[in-house]
Amino acid sequence: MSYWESLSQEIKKTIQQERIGTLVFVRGTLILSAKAEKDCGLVGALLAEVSHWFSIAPHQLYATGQTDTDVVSVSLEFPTGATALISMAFGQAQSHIDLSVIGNLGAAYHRENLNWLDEPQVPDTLPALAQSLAKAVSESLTTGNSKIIESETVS
Amino acid sequence: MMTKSLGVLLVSGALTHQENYSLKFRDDPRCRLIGVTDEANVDAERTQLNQAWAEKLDIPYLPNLGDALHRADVDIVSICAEPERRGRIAVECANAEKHIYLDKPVTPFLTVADSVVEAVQQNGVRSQMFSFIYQPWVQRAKQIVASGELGDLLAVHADCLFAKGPNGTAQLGTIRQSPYPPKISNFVDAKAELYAMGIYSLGVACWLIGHSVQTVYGQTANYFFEAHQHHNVEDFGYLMLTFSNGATATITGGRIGWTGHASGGNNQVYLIGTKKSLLIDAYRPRLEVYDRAPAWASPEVNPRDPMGFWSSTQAEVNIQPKRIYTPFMADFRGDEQHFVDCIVEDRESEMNAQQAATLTEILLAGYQSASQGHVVSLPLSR
Repeated sequence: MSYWESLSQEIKKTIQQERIGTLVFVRGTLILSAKAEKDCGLVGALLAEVSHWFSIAPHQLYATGQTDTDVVSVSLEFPTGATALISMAFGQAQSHIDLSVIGNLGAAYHRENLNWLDEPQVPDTLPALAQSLAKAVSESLTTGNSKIIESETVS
Repeated sequence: MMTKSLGVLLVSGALTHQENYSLKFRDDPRCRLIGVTDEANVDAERTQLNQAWAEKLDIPYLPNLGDALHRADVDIVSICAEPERRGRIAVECANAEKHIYLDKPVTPFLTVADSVVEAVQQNGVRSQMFSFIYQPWVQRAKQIVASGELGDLLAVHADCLFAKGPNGTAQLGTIRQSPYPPKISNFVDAKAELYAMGIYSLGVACWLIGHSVQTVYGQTANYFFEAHQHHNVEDFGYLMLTFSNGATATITGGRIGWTGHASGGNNQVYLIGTKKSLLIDAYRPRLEVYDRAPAWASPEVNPRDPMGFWSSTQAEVNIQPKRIYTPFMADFRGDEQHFVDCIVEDRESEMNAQQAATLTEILLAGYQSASQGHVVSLPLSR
């Protein structure tokens, strides 16, 4: 199992065990050596993974940044009122991840330098939710406005 | 070289941040406390709290601010009145040609913020709002940005999430309808936390980037406390900002509850540069110490201050510090000391009334965005 799969599994387990209560907010900062792609595929895949932690797809998204400067921040808003704020920097010399997974009763934190761990990869086939989120990020970056997400489910 | 000590007048006393600021001024050898005062028409409870603080500091209680401002021995006024009154008091003090030290944020009202700036400029007095920018970790961040080591600064991500308050009581499951204008008031058991906490991370991000904000996107929520929900003020929020130089920032501000963090809360800033990126954490460098002491437990709720806003009420329930993290604080100087430096050295604070007013405008734009669900451009219409 890759580092990213293990990380996501541990977070899901922590949520399922109700150690932090109900998940209400995720703050993520990912600094990666990978180059950003124009189609925001990796961004979409990462956002879809975060959505799985909430067990629901976001209904609205807003993004700032520019893919040509390799900096993107995304606000995900879920129908339950929960939110996530994920910032990514691509093409960086050193990779790093910082996650605050905040529940109404507690929080889980994860911070690692990734120089000895694998970076996330874009899956060969992007799941539907990831595709939908990638498209919404691209459109939000282009228009400068928030974007309603077309109905998707987390599988 | 300064020979005259600076007289400091305190506006509002107990159960305000004057409990912290006044002690720092008292301990600064360049200052001496003159008295505690307030507007003449404050209610009986506020009067009693002001008198109690004057008594504790063994200084006079001066019941009429207007009269106190006529005193020639007052050089600085430290203003900790409630948010709704703070701005107009700041104007009055600046017009009396006193330097003003302001609790944060300066005011929830845009036109009042403008009036404070105008009064400060017209009267040529110094001003400073309490913030994090003079804390050693933020100063270090600024030095690194200025050195060019990171290249051009592309983005800043700053967090200020206080781990205080009895969390777990909010009703979850719905999207908060954020009112605009926001409800900004100090209730016994709640404050608008994007306003009260977000000002810190916002101040850090704007100061580090050093360019004007162009657009604001905001979200507010009620995740932790029934009391905040009851008063219709958020316990959590975040902003996404774009700047005139193309940089971006995200900031969080909120109160996540006693059980949400190993220490005081998430208090950090990421600097994303074209050459390099860096995390600076308020609790690093640090020692982590594990010992035989009993595990930290949430304090008993003090009905006079359930959220742990004030030092005196936390002491009443004998709150114990979380002791696992021991950050290095050797070079820590209080924010108040930096303000005194500015007066003594006749220079402007980098968190003066103008900057404080700018932060008020950004926060209000964030609330407007949260209410309307879209991006808000600055400046806001007056």
